[in-house]
Amino acid sequence: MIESIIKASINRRWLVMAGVLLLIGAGVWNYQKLPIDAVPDITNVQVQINTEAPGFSPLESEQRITYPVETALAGIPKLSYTRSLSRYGLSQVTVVFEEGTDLYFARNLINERLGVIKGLLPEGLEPEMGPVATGLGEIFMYTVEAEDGYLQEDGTSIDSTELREIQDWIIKPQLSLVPGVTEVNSIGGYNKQYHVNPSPEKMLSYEISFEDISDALESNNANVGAGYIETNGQQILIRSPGQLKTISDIEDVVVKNIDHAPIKIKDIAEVGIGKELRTGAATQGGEETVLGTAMMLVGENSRAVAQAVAQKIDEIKSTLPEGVVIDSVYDRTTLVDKAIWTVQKNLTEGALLVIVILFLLLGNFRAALITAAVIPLAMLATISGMVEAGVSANLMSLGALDFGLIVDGAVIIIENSIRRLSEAQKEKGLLPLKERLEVVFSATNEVIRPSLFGVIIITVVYIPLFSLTGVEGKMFHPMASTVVMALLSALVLSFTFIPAAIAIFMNGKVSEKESFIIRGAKSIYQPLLKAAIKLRWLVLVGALALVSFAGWLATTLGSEFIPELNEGDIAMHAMRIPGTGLEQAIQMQKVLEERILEFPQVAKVFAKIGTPEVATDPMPPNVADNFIMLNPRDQWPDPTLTQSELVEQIEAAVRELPGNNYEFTQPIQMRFNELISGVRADLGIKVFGDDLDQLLESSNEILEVIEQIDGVADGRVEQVTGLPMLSVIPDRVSLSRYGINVADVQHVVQTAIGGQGAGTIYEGDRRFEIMVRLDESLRRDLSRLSELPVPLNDGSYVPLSEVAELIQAPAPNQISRENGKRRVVVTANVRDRDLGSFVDEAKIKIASDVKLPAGYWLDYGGTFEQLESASQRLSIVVPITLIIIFGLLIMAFSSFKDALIIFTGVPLALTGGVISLWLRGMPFSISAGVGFIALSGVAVLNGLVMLSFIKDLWEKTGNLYHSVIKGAMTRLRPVLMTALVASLGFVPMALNTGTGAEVQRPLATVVIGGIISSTLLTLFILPILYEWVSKDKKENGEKS
Amino acid sequence: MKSILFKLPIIIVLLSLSLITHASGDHDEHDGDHEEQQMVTIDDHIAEKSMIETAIASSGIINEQLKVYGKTVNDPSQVSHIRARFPGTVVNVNVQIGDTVKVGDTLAFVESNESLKKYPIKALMPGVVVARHANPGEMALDQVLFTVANFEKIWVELQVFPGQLNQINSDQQVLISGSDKTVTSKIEHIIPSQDERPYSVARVLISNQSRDWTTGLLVSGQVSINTTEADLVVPSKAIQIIENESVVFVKTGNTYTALVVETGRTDGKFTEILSGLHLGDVYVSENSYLIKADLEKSGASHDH
Repeated sequence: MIESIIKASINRRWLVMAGVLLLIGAGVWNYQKLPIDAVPDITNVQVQINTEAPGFSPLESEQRITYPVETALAGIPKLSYTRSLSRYGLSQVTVVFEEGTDLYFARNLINERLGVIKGLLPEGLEPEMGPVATGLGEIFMYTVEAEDGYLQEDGTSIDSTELREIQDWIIKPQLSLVPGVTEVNSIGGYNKQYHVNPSPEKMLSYEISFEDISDALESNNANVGAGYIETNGQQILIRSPGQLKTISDIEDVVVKNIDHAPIKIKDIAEVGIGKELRTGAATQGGEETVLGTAMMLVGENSRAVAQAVAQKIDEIKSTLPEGVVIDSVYDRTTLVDKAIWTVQKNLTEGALLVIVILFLLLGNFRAALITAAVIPLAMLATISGMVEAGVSANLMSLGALDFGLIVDGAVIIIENSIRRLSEAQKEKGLLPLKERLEVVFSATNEVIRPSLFGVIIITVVYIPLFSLTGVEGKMFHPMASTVVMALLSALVLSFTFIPAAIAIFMNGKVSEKESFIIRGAKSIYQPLLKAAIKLRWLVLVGALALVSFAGWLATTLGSEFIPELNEGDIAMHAMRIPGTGLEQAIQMQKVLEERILEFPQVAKVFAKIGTPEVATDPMPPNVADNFIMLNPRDQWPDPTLTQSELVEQIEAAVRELPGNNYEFTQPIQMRFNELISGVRADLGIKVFGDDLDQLLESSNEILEVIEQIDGVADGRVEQVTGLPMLSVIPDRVSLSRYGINVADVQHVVQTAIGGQGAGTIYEGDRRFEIMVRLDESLRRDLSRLSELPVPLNDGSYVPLSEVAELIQAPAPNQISRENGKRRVVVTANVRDRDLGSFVDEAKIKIASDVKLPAGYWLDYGGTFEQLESASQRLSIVVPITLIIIFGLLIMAFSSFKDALIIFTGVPLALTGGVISLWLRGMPFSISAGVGFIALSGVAVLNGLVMLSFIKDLWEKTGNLYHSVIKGAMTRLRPVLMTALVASLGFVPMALNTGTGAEVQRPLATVVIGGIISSTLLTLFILPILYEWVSKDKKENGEKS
Repeated sequence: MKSILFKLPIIIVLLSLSLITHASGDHDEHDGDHEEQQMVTIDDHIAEKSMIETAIASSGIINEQLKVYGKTVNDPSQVSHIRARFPGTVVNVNVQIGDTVKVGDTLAFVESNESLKKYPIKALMPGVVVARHANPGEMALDQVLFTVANFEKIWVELQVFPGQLNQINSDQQVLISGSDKTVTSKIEHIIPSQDERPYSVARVLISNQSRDWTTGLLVSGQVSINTTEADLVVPSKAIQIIENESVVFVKTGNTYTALVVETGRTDGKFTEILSGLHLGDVYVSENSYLIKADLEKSGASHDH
C-alpha cells in the first residue's frame, strides 16, 4: 500500500504539491482559531453555587442554605461529587461533574434543581452559579484609584466608596460587554449605601421601633404608573413619582404622628452615606484600593480577550471622572506573549539548526531545504489537528515538539534518495525524467519501512502518557497528542511530499559532496568499529557497566511530579489567625506590602483580602491573596537571580513581620489550587459525621495515632474552629415576663448591629440600598451591647442583658462538607518511608486505636491515592507499550533476536539521559520522563535503520563481517544526521531560561544526552551484537 | 548477555515507577514550634512599622459605669393647682399660660357668689403658669383655675432592672443626657416601681434653671457605679485571650512574652490587673493583637 502511495505521489507530484498548498491554507486558517494560553487548563468540570447570606454565621448558613442546596443536587446525572463550605455570610457548594461533561449541560441541570428549592431557602437569599470560567479565567486585573493629591471641588479627596461606585457603574458595565468576558468581579472599597442611624433614646422617647422606621421608608419610596386616559383624542399617561432621591428626601419621611405633630426621620436619626459591612477589601502598594478582575469565558483565547480588555480599559479611561485613574496590574497577555516567544524562539532556532546540520551533512542545499520544509508543513498540519481535537496551544502542548525528531523520517528518505541519485548520476550522467523518478521511488521504498516503523514506534512510546488521569492527565495529554499529531503528519509528508518534492526539485545535477564532516567521521569510525568488533567483550562489559552506573545514578536523582511553570509573577497567601478583622488585616497588609516593595525586582504588589463580590474564591478576612508583579529581568540588580531564589529572599524578609504566615505560589497556579482544591498532602483522612465537636475530637485522636507512626511529617487537623463569636441567647422566661418574643429581641439585635435593608435609592441606573442600623460608635462598642434597649409593646423598654445572655466564645470558623456530610480532614505527609506501607500501617492502627461513635466513618484519600493509581496504571501500560514496540520490531525483522538487539539501544539511550540530568543537577520529573520516552523512540529508530541495512546487505552478499562494516559505514551518515538534528533541535530548549523553559529544559536535556550516548553506542554496540549473535546463528546453522 | 536484555523492560518500568513514586517531595512545611514558648521576637523597627506601642504598667483609675434609661417627671412638690376659694364669677385674669409668676402675684379676681365681693387669687409658689381654665365671666366652682409649676428642679426617674439593681446605690454620680443636653447629678433614692413593673426607679433631682429640660422626656443616665483607684491598670485593648486565658504581652529587649494575668474590675477602657503583671513592666499597649497573631500564626492556614 505504501509503495503505491509513494508511486502515486511521484507520478502525481504536482497534485501532491497542490495538496500541500491546501494543507498550508487550512493550517493558516486554523491558526486564527487556535486557543492560545500559557499553561494547560487543569480545572475539572465544576459549577460553584454561591449564596450570599448577609449576617449568617457558619452554622446558620450551613443549616439554612448549604444543606437544602446539597440535598437538591443529589442524584444529578454525571455527578462526581459535591463539596461545600459554610462561612460567615456565605454558603458555597461546589459541584464537580465527571470529566467530559458539557459545562452548559451541567449548569442547566443545576439551574433546574435550584429553581425547585427556592421556596425552601430563607427569604431574600438567591443561590447563584459562579461565572462560566475555569482556572485560567482571571486574565486581567486593574485597580481604580484616586490621583495622588487630587481634591474634589468640595476640598475632599475621592474616597473608596466613590471609587467603588465608579468601578460598579462606569467601568464594570462597559467591560462586561467585551466579547469573551463572562464576569467582572469587584473587591475593595465600600458599596455605597444610604444609612439611617437612629438614636435609641429618641426612638424610645417617641415610642418608635426599628420596624416603624423601615416600614415608613419602604412605603414612601415608590413610583407608580396608573395607566392612561384619553382626552380630546390624546392619550395621556398617568404616573405618580414618589421615589426618594436625596438624603434630605429620606430625612423628611414621616415615621409617626404624635398629637398631630409629624415625627420625621431626621427627628430621630442621622442620615448619610455609609459603609456596607463588607466581606473583602483590596490593597495595592500598602494603600486600600478597588480591584476589578475580568474573567474569561471558558474556552476563549485568553490572549485575545486580555488584549480586548486592555483596549477597552484605555477607552474607559477617557470616560472617568477627573482625578480617577485605572492602573492595569495584571494582564495575561504579558505571560502568554512571553510563553509564545519562548516556544517560537525554541522552534525557530531549532529549525534553523536543523537546516544547517542537514546542509552540512548532506552537502546539498536543495535537499536540506526540502527536508526543512517538512517542519512548517508538519507544524501547520499539527495546528489544524489541535484545533480539531480542541487542544490549546501552550507551553505544555508545544513544549515537547522537536523538529529534529519530526524530520527524522524525512531525513532518512532524503539522504537515501540523494545518495542513490548521485550514485546513478556518477554512473550514467544526467538521468532522463523517467529513470530519475524510478531512482527516487526505489530509494524511498528502500528506507520507508524502517523509517515508518521507527516513527510509529516513537509515536507508540507516547501512549503511556495518555493513561495518566486527573491533573497529570490534563497537563500531559495535550503534550502527547500534539507530538503524536506532529509525528504522524511528518510521517505522512515523508512518503508523499518528500518523494514528490525530490522528483520535482532534484533535477539537474545532484551534487552530493561527502562533506568533510562525514568524511572525517567515516575515517575515524571505520578503524574504531573494527577494533570494537575485535574487543567486543571489553566494549560490551563497558557498556553494561555504564548502564548499571546510570541505573544507580538514577536512584540518586531527586524527583518532582508535576513541573512548575514559571509564570514570571509571584502569588503569596498571607494568612492570619481566624477572626482577624478586615481593618486589622489591611493594617498588616500595609506593612507587608511596603516591605515587599523594597525589593528592586518588584514592580507592583497588590492583594485581595477576604471574599470578592462574586465569591469565586471565598476567603475569610484573615487570608489575603498577594500578587507580586516583577520587573523585567534586565532591570534586576542581579539578572541571573532565579525566581525561586527571589522567592526565598522575599520569604525571609516577610517572615520577620509579625502575625503573618505565608504560602508562595503563582497567580494561575493559585487559582487552579483554589478550584481543584483536593487534599494536597500525601495522606488525608476524612472524618465524616454530624457533631462538630465529636468530629474534632475524633480527628485529634486520629492525629495522635498517626503522629506515633514512623515517617510522619506535618501532621495536622483542618482548622475548623477559632472564630470569636458573641452569642446573644434569649432568656425565654424573662421574655415572657416582659411579654415579647424571641424574634423581637433577635430583630433588635439584627437591625442594630447588622442593619436592615429598607428599600433602594435610584440615581439613574445606579441603585443603592437604604440601611437602617445603629451608628458606628454605638454598634462597635461591645461592652455597651448589653445595655441596648429592647422596646416593649407598651412603649417602655428593657435592656438587652435583662432578656438575653451574652456569651463570647470561639465558634466554628467554617463548616466543610463533602457529598452531603460534615467532614474534618486530618492530613499528614510522609518522609523517608514508602508511602504505601505507611498508609497501611496508619489504617490498621487507626482501626484498632480510635473508636468512632455510631454514625461516624472515615475515608482515606490524598496524593497517595493518585500516586497509587498512576503507578498501577503505568505499571500495566508501560510493559504493554514495550511489548507493542517489541511486536513492531519483530514485525519489521521477522526475527526475535534482531528485535532484541535493537532494544539494547533503549537502555543505552536512557544512560545518556540520566547522566545529562545528573550533570545539570536536575531532578526526575514527568517532563524528563517524556524525554526518556522520546529517547527510546529515537534509539529504536536509529537501530532500526542501521540494522535493516546491514541485514539487507548480508542477504545480498552473504558475508556477515563485511556486511556489518559496510552497512554500518553507509548508515553512519543518516544515523549521525537523525541524531544530530534531533539533539541539536533541542539545544535552544535546553539552554533557554525564558518563561516556560522549566518544562522544556529537563526534556531537552534528557534527549540531548540520551541521543549522544545512544548514537555513540548504537554505532558500536549494535554492529558488535549483531555480528556476534548472527555468527552464533550462522555457526549453529552450519553445524546443524 | 541475555540477562541484560531481559532486564531492559524491568529497568524501564522501574524508571517510570520511580518517576511516580518519588514524586512526594514537595510539601508545605510549617514551623509549629511557637505554641509552648509563648514568646516572639520582633525587631524594633518592624514593631514600629507595625504600630506596636508599649507602655509602663502603672496604677490608674477604673471608672465603672452603667447606662440606664428613664423619663423626666415633675417634682410633685413643685406643682400648684390653684382653685377659687369661694365659688363665684371670674372677673378678670392677669396671666397667660407661660407667664412666670412670683409668690403673691395676683393671677385673677373672682367675685364671690355669696359676698358678691371681688377677691384675688394669688400664686403661692413661684413658677410658670402651665394651665389656665379661667376667663372673665366664667363660673369658678371647684375646678382648677391655674396650674403653676416650678421647673427649676425636675426629677429623673431611671428604670433599674433587677439585673442592674445590685450595682446601683443612692448617692452615685450620674450623667443624665437627653436631646443634646447633659447634666450631672446624683441618685437621691431608689424606690420600687409603683405600678407593679419588674424594675425599680432610681430618682435623680436635676436643676433646670435654664429651662432646658422638659418633663416626659426620655433620657439616659450614665451611672458611675464604682470609681476606684487600682494599683495596676492597663488599657483593655492590651489584654488578649489566648487559650481561654487573659494575657498581657511584656517586652524585654526585642522579645515579647505572653504573661497570663488575672483581671479585676474594668470599665471598658481600662482593666485592673490583679496578678501576673508587675508595676513598671513594659507591656504592649497598642496593636497587641499582632503579637497574639504571631504567636498563633503557625495554625493559620487557607484550606480550600
